Amino acid sequence: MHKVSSLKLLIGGCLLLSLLGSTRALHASTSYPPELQKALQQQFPGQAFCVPQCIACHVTNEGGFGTLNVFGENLKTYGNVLPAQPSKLVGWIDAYFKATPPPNVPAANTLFLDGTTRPSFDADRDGASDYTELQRNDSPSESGPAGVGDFCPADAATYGCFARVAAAPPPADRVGLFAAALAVLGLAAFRRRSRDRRA
Amino acid sequence: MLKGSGTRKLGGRDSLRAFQRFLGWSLVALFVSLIPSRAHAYTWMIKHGYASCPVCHADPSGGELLTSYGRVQSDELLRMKYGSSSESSHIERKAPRLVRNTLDSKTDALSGADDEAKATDEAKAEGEEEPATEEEAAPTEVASTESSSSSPGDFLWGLIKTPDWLLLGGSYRHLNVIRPTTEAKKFSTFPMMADLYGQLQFGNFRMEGSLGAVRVGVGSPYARAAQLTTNQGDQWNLLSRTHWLGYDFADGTMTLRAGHMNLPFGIRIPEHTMWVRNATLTDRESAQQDGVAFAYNGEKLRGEVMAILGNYQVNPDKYRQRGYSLYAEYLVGERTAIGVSSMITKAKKDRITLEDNPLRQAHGAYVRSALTDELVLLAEADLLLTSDHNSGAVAFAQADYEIIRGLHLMATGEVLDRGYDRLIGGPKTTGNGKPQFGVWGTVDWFFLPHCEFRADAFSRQKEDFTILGQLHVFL
Repeated sequence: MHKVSSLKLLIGGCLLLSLLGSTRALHASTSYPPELQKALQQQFPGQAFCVPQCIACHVTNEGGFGTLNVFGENLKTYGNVLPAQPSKLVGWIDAYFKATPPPNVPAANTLFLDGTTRPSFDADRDGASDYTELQRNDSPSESGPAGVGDFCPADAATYGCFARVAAAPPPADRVGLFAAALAVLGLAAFRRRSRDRRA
Repeated sequence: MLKGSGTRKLGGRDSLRAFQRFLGWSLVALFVSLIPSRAHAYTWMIKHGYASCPVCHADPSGGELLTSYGRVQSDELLRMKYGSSSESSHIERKAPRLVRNTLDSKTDALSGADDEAKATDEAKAEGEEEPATEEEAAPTEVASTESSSSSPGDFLWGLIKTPDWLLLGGSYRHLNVIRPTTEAKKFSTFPMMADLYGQLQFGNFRMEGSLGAVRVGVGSPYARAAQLTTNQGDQWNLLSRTHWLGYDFADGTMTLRAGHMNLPFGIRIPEHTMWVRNATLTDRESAQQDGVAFAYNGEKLRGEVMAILGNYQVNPDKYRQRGYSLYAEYLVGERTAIGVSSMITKAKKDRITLEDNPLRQAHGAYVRSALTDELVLLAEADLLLTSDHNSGAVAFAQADYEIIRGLHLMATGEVLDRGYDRLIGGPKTTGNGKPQFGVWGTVDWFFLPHCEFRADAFSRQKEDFTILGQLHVFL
């Protein structure tokens, strides 16, 4: 390898730091899944629920706007669930289960934990209400056998090859600014050095 | 750079000028810190005569890690030149051996078609170029007229000269997302990618890999499939999108690889959310798979076929897709290429839709054509055949007009019908049995060496109008 001066290493280090130093959380808000877990644990005390995947309410695990599945659409329409307010989801789920479905909306008779039996929403029209299916860990958006055990599948996909690394807090915005400043100084120093050499 | 700026130094004799320059760099810094990213191979390089990819990329089908020659071309062909008489690097880099004999037809800085490259051409005419020899196995061979100084072909803006057997690179992308009409969060900003790449080459043997860090939310479909570490929540994870071993045959026109690679399918565009890449699961964000691939890069014909053995960064085994993926492309004329792609994969369970035994097929065709020196057309159409769905289709067409060197305007139209989902049932909806349309408008500015700023505005049926601002720095 060619000889690299300490100044070059310093400049390179600054630039690398600037590239990696400002990384923060990625992509759209994904706060709904843990809130849905919390809501279900309150509805069904003593029953363990996973943090559901996006597909619980969306057509695919990519989630996103305009991709709600039948259960998600039901929550939005009859549970009055709004976007970007995940902290209210626990209350909205409770209201959804307590609501009486309007006429001509798919529903099924449901035995609730309080001992009452009454109609409740059945988004996938399979004869078992969303309440009952969630209680059984079935998917409320997939009808029949296809959705059995699919809400919190025991063999859900996991990712990665080896060691777990500790969680780290995201760096503050000021770190990003500092990193960018380092990048600028590094570039400026490099240009100056190059021009000096040419001169 | 600005005309005459080469005689001035930061903090030099003209303090006002130095202050202006410092202010300018500070604004760039502010931009870097506030505006985040996404991107990679530029398939529109066909307008410069580069129909194939190994000239500029380590991957025989393009993307990510640049060769030394590719780094020079990035500086000469991609970025905006400022001032009336642009600087030329005065540094010659030999192209990888396998493609060097085809470079005469290129309209790039090293072939003499561009005014800005005349100085380079004159240097070449003085007899620096030598015929290829057996020893020139590395694609980073250097024939420099200023061998002691840095050049655009060196790593990290010329700061570090790597030996012939080593290639280094990296990519940082930062993205701002604005959804002015949404009821949800209207603005978000995040770094999308922070990866480093490397390749070792000893004779015909090559070893390539990437390493990055990312933090995504619970349930995010992004980055997960490329994870090396096993945090499943919103913690930090190391990831590797590609890592493979390769061997070049037939003077480098053929390459056999084994490892974790991008799927050879369709046009390798950087927009991983474009429906043609997203719906076929062939994007370069985290859709890579493990397998064995054979690539051919001839003068007119190029292609790659890959036996997909599954993504071993996804567990358990039931979620791994297995099958094949391929493309073949033929150069028609000097600056038009037509290609076909095909892919069939099977898994026991789909990790995205959770459907059992999904059989996914995608078959299609594409074209890349430089209609004029400034205008390039990219188009692709694929048939989607998925079990338990009616047949669907996805297509896009993109016109790329380079107003001036380094500044591109793009218009893109796309359409998607994933095929009616018979399992979910119900009425046909947009995208599910009915076509869903989208349009994009893009400004892409290569404002400094290896620095790109890109702004996209797109509108898709059933989705919020979205504006993206992206900064991409590639090493």
